Amino acid sequence: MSREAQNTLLLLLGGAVLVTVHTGEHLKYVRPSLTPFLVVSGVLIVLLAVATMIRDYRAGDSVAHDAVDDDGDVAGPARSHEPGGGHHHHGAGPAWALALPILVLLAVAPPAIGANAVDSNSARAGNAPSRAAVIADLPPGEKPEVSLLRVIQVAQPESGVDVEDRVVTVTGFLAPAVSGTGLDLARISILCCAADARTLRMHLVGAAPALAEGTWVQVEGTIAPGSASAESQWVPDFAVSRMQAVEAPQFQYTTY
Amino acid sequence: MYLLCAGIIVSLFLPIADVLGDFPRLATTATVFGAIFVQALPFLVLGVVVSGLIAAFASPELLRRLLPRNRYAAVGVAGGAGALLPGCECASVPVSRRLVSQGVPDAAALTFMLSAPAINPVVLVATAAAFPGEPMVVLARFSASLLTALIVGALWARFGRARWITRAGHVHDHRGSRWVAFTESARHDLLQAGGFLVIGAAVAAVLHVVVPASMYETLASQLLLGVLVMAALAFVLALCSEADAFVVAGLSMVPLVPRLVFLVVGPAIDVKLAIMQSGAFGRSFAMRFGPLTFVVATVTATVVGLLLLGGAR
Repeated sequence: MSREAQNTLLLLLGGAVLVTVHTGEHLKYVRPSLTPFLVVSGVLIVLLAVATMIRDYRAGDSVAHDAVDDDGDVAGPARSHEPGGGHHHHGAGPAWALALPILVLLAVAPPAIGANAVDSNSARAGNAPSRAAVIADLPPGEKPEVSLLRVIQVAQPESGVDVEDRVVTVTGFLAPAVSGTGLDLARISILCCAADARTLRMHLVGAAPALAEGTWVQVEGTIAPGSASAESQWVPDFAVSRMQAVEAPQFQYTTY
Repeated sequence: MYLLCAGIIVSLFLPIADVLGDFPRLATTATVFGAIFVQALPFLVLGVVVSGLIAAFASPELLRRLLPRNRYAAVGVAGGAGALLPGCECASVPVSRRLVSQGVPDAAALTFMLSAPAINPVVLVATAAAFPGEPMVVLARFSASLLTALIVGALWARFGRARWITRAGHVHDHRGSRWVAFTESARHDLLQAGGFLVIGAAVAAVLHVVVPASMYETLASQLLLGVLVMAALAFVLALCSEADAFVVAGLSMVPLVPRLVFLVVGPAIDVKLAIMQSGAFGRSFAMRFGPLTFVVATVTATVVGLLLLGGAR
């Protein structure tokens, strides 16, 4: 691969990262807290590519090509271990592979892990008991918005949180119930990136309108105290008083 | 190459996303690939920047003065120095390759490569956060990972052959400024390590979607089986060392010792690292170093785990 081509590839890679962050699409892959680091990375990659391009351009054609051969030798560990060469790399390993993330980020743009991956191998483990030493009370106010993770926490038999008659609001998408009948409200939780996704869920009890599985909804209702026990596989029951379809949030996952 | 660029540009206008909708597993594979790559990218950039700085400022003479003359002492110093690079494993491969090309003894650079992703403060804090109230897990992870790095380093110092490693060639005098040396090394490492990261992330993403979730449940109380399966999972899943603690913390049905094995093996060797290492040091290196690291890490973690955490849980 020529030096110009490598520079172009780096420029495209840095650009693809910056575009992805700009549109918010990176939130399909990683947590929001990684955003500033991605911006810095994208900018550094672009600067590196531009700096090299300018230097090569200034150096002029002939000089630049000398430099290529030099650098190829200096920096070419990947070349010698493949005598007869499988790949057409020029000293820098399979740099061509960097085209793949550019394609995935910009052209393929796969969806966030969600309804189509519930309980699949890629969102394996489900609800788990909380390991927190002290579980905080529900937020005050009328119908406070709480995360599914919090619902699972406070619905544990020994949570010490009074959930009786407290109406709360929870957002997630509809999924077939793990118990077999009816619907669950599910949410994918990630710790670091979408590669460690897992499916969290609570069982919806009561009138469920005819919304399709996979629909994003906001539900209001009450948490059945102590219902997230080992027998229910830590899946709490939630008595729905109101449910409405909503737009999927930009960051579809929930994090600890 | 121009074909490649043209291909990228043309593909931007194709309705790939619509087609993907019909193949949910393929879509998930693409998402997991993107996730591993995007998550690793900032750490890779950190790694190549450090590597570029080493190339520009840490002359072979300076490094030689900093490291003890004795090979085994150098391994020890390199193991401890791993605590200074606050990144995950993707950063440490280009850095240690650069150290080798700047004349640091192979064994010391490799020890650094193994210890850096596992014992730095960021990873230890993440581990403590994932196991609240169980400080012994943090201590066990720290000691088992450091021991693994030191043992592999010492074994390499004793039995390793220089010819197994494909060298990066002589250190280039970049006719002039340190700025040129810095940008040239950083650029080269980014292309090289980045390319191998892509291949490793793609393999890991496919395995991710294919390996059955039920593997976790089969190993509830079997210690030996649990250790082997968790070691294999750590290799296959290729999680970032800053996330793996949270993942295993959630696997409460698995006893603590196999979970420790997962935490020690993952940052030392996984499918993505094996591919990156083979790119950095050559295939004949990777064929020896990978299995050696895997075995040492598994055994060390099991022994340390049984000593510090007990066999009960």
